[in-house]
Amino acid sequence: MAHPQTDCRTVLNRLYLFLDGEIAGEECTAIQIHLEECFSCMHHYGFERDFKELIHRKCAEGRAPEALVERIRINIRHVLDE
Amino acid sequence: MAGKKGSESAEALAERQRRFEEEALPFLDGMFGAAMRLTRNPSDAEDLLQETFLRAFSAYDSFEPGTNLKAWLYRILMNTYISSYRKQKRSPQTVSSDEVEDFSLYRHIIDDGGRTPEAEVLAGIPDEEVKQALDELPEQFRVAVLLADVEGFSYKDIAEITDTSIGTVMSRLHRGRKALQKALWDYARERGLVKEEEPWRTPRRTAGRS
Repeated sequence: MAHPQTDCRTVLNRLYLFLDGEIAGEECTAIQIHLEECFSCMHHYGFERDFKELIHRKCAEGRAPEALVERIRINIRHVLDE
Repeated sequence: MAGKKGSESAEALAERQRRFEEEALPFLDGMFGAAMRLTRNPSDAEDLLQETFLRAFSAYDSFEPGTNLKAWLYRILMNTYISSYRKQKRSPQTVSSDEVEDFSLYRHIIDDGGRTPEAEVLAGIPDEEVKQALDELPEQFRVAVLLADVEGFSYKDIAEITDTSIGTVMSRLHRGRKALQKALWDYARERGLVKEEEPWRTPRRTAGRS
């Protein structure tokens, strides 16, 4: 498909899909090329990417409590005895 | 259930238990975070996970090896949550949608004249505030953002985990992110993390040039 110019509006409409890795093939390449050439879209994309990364980083809880892991192991082993 | 087929069945059960501990239990750490965001308190999160893993273990024979175990476990987590823990509907199910729908944190920061670098605004918000903002989203939006952004699932996986269509996932994710951005923007303004002079009337907007 000869993809002429992907315009800013199209890129911004598809920004979340692109960011989430849900766009493949030629459309993905076309968006990448547009982002490399368009400062304003790249800036916006960079912001949304940072925001997604922020949510990922700040909403994680680290490891499950050791006591919980142990309880679950015991529960599962207990099924054997029932 | 036990002892149906004598010792052979006990062996099969022991083998299932061994495989389950080895393959499924490593997902517990990640799922603890998800259970916290769903139930919004540690003791419910622990109960939810205990029940989820018991159910998963009972059904483990029906899991097809080679398919996505993480998504399979999260689907059980969601189902267990819905059947056992959601009774106390504490969260609002809707948000005043138009305002949120069109909200763009990026636009607000840009329109603010770039007085505060956007990375600085975001970094200035403490972890607990971000978690709280996520916790306060209506449940469907919260789950979509949790699964996509915190857990890193694909739209297809999220659709399967939440038993809905990919189109619905996209719409919930879009609205969830917008609502979250609005909540964090409000927080940043209240705390003075954004160096505004007149919050909603920046010179750019009031200049009557068209």
